[in-house]
Amino acid sequence: MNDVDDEVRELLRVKAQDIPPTLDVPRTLTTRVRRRIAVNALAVTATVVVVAAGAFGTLRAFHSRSSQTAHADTPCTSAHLRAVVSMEGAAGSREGTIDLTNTSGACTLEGTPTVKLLDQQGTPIVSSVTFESVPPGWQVAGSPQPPGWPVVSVAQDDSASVRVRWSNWCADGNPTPQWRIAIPGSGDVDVEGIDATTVPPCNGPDLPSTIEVGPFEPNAA
Amino acid sequence: MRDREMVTAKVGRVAQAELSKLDELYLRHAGGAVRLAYLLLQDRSVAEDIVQDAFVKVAGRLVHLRDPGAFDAYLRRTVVNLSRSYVRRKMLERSFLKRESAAVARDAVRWPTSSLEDREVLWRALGRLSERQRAAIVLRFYEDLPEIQVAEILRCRPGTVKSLVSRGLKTLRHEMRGEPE
Repeated sequence: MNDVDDEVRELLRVKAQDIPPTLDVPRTLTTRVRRRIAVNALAVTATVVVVAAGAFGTLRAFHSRSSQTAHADTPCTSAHLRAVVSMEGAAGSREGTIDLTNTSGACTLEGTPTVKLLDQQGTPIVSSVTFESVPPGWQVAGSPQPPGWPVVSVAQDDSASVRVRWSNWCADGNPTPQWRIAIPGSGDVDVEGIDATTVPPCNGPDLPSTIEVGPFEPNAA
Repeated sequence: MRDREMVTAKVGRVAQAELSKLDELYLRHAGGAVRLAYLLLQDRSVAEDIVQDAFVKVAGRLVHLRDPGAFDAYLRRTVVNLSRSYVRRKMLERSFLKRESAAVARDAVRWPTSSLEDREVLWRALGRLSERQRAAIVLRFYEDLPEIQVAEILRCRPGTVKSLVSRGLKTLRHEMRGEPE
């Protein structure tokens, strides 16, 4: 009965030799790590600031009953949001965030938005595209849950973000599709920044293109 | 403004310390990690990407690393988890099964005649196992980890590991020799 066990052991040993020893550190790794460390540090700083601001706000509210919370619970609307995507390559796909900047008064975002792909005529592309959800960036990074999450408060000119990953796009000569993000309870916002560099490689024309979208979260950057 | 400068300076110091530590760890562990990912994914370039992702993921926590032995286990777990996520996400298994179904038929008809051919048939058969079975077999037979450690990585009970390995080997025997599953 151990014959296959031995063969598997031998196979794995032999196949592992396909991989040569590592002699240097890829430059892309250093760049990505530097960025990651900076983002982590800023996230921690932002968390401290938010907690401090929250504590200050609570104390203020305790001392004076003002009506300043009128806008705090107002859901953000698509008319007052600007969406810009930034992505980079990751294991055969493109990964990054859509940053949503609030151009009006303070408001809140909550839940997971949906993303649509549009052809040149503005028609949603639905065949061969699957949509899935991914956890928020803070969870993936192992960072503490942002205060108030899943509700994300966005001050004027401030921004929130959603994590996105796009894989397997087989263009077949077609132009790059445009993206539109649907804000829950409101309308759609055209996503800026989609170009040839944000398009993932074609992993298989028979496989669907996959777009994974995370929930709203405070922008760490 | 001064706070901002202090934060920037601190980030710079932390980044420099982590980067130098990371270089050292990368040169020491990346080769083994890529081999592990390659055995799980059967694709060298994806394995290299996965390992780079794993290093980026663990990078922010290097300053807290006191036990160098713990890094190996942490990296291994991260590589296995990222590889499994990759397989699930890309539906590689489904497409692989689809693509290889013809190869299964071919293998069944054309029995291997040399050990080299035998090995390639086994390699393809290994690739057709479920990602959990494949991970359990690679961790047991390549990494030589005890069942309890494999169970920790796969987040299941040791009994489940035993069953995953046993069922995986049974499938391989069936595909290689035609023994009943």
